[in-house]
Amino acid sequence: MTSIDFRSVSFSYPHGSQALRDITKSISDGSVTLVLGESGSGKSTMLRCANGLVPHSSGGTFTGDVVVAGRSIRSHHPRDLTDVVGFVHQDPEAHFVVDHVEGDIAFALENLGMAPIAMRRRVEEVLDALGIAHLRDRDPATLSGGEKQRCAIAGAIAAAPTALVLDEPTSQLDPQGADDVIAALVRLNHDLGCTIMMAEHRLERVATFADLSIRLDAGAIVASGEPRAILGTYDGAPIVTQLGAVLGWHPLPLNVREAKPFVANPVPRVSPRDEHVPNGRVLLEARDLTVTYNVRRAVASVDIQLCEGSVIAVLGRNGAGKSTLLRSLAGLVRHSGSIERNARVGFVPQNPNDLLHASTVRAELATTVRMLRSDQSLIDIWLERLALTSHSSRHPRDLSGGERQRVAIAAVAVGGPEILLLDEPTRGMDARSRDALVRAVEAHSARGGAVVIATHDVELAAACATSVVVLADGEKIADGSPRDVLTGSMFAPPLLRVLPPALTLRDLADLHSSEKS
Amino acid sequence: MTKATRPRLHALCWLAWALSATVCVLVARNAVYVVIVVLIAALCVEMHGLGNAISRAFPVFIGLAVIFALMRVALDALTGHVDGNHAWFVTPSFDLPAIFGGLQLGGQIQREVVLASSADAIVVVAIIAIFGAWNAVVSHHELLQMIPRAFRELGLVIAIALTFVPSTVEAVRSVREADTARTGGARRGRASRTFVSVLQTGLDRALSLGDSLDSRGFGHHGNTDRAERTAVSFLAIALVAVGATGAALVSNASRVASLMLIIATLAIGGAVISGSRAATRTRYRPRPFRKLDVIIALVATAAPVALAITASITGAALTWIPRDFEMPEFNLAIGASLLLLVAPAFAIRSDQI
Repeated sequence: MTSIDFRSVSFSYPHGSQALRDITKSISDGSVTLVLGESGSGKSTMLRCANGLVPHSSGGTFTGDVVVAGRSIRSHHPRDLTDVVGFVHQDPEAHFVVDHVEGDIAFALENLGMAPIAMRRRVEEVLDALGIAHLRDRDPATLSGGEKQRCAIAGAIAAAPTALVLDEPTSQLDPQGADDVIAALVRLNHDLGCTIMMAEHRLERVATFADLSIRLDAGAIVASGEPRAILGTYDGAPIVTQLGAVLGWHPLPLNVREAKPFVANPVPRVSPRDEHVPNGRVLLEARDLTVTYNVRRAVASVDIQLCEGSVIAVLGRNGAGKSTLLRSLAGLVRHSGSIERNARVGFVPQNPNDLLHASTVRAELATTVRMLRSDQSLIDIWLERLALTSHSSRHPRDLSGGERQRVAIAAVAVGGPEILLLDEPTRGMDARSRDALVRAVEAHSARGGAVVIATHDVELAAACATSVVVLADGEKIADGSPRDVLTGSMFAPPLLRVLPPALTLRDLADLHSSEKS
Repeated sequence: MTKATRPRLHALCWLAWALSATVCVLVARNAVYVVIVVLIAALCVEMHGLGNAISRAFPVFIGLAVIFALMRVALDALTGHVDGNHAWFVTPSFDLPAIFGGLQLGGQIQREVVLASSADAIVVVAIIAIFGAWNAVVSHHELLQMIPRAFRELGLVIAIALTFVPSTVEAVRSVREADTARTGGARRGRASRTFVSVLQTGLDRALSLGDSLDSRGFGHHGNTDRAERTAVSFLAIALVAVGATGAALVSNASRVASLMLIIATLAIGGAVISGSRAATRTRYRPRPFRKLDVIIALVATAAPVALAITASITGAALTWIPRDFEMPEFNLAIGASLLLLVAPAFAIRSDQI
């Protein structure tokens, strides 16, 4: 039985290019569907069609039809589809309307005019289904990212829709928060038979429980089918799937558990590439760095040294003090302890929108160059490094989240700071954007710069860091080479768990080439 | 065994408190009395603030109120000139065009004008402070549940709009910080740069919230076309009656005007009732108005009454028109009447443990 039916859907935003091209696809009742594609490929637009936000809220030119549980979005507004399809945003903050969780969950039921007794029972059921009964009286603003997203999902499924549509629900969460959300979705699908349709970049968590993958490119479906078949040729596939594709494993593994049996077979034993230990001029040295908010120590007695060529990845859960550490290194918060800066520092905040105000990407970079009187040629260099050249004449706010993040980095980097501090730079980034970021970081450090990256992304740390620092409650609890710190960690990169001591696919490629020579 | 806890008071109780406090500052415009009310408002926020973003924005409300008050004093000082007043100093002056009233802008800056305007401005600050305090302690969701269903959508939009105050303050902070880090603290053009970013962030948030509301059934009406048509018909009758009232007043037909006014009032009532029927929404777990809420609301409402009675008995002046730097009069009984407003701050409930 079909839950969501896309019938020859094409769509163009007002004054924009075509976002969807002749999409025809049926989503089966009770299935889990992954929508894949690079930033700007039309994933969000397709998902927003499922509950009529496109075209009713967006405007634009829409042809074809989407039928959800027998209702056409052409004749039904999103508010008239609440009881058949729930929608969850990328940013859970955007979801909350009421100042306490229980009331927010009941919001859709109040709007639909459900009887108070039935409403009470439904809210209790939803609280239990998502495992958030203990959060019922909390203000959503006080919740962690994972808790917020689970509450947002609760609000979306309160009206018992047959389908739930989620737009990158874990992109802004730490690994634990993302795991909680995915576990909740699995429960909804397995226990309640809820149809789930979602876009996601962190595929290692969701690929195993998806029934169908749809891959979009430039607004058109270029492949669809069983996830294993689609992910084999997809750049953003989980790293173990890419490894399986490289080594010819069959069936392709989607997670570490599925990859382990292949390792039992004879596979070339890998030896790590030489670890680069930067030992150039010291650009920044912080000693006994402590930041206190009211009475809480956000950063506690941290020592850190940045040399030419250093790339330090700062890991830790949400609230561990990563952002505060970066802001203190940038001189933006009061601190105790000493910071000796021998080079200019550039800081890129978590939210790229804080930095974007020009009308084009190039103008955005030119603003920094003009303000700091830096070298004009840096604009093209950084546009190239971050793969933004083709976007240079677009409005920064029209770009996807990952693209905006890269523009923000470029806008700071063109000022010529030797030290770049990047706060969660891979939030919402697709594989290609992340590769571009890794290349840019490596290029900057290779030219004598240094980079500090606060991130949850262990694969990013493995790919480009020369050292990894782990924070917990503001304290530094680990500091060393990526291999030393990540080996044995519960959040180690999947490749390290499958083929230790390889951290990245490049380690394997290096081995392969050395064996050949 | 019992333990004392601070109860969450009902929105209606806080509404009664806010209205009483506002009446008090409008009646007792003496600066000392007004400051007492502002301090009570701050105390209520301290004791009952919900800890959410809008509660933390109470100082922002005060800051905005002070800016507004200073602007008002400056404008009064530049435009208010009374013969015989004491001039502090003289500024260059020019006359505004007749279309703007032909006022003289500048010239003598007079002490009496500045002091009187300042006394009035304190009242404005107090009213905004009361509004800020009310927003900090009241549950907007509970308030929305209380209003007639016909106004719920409008109410929700206003409630959400209020949350933009603290989020905009936070956006200004983060955008300024990002700009400082990017440009090394260069101030040239910062205002315009940050303004655009803050504005765009606010618009993005508004659009996301609009999508969320729409996705979750906000504005869903179901099969209520008939009730909607009735509400619109009542509204049309009310508009015609209001127009007829105006025409009757112009023609000095006071009886007809009164009749039309009654019809307009009834029609508006009918529109609200029909509109509420048209809205299919229900209420989730509305909180009861308990005995403690009733007591606190009554005590707070007693404040302006006590104020009026005390003033008439003691003959103490409630207003203060300063002509020189002098301490305003202070009457202890009037001050004690205002202290009735402090009742919510000390509301305590005993719970069995």
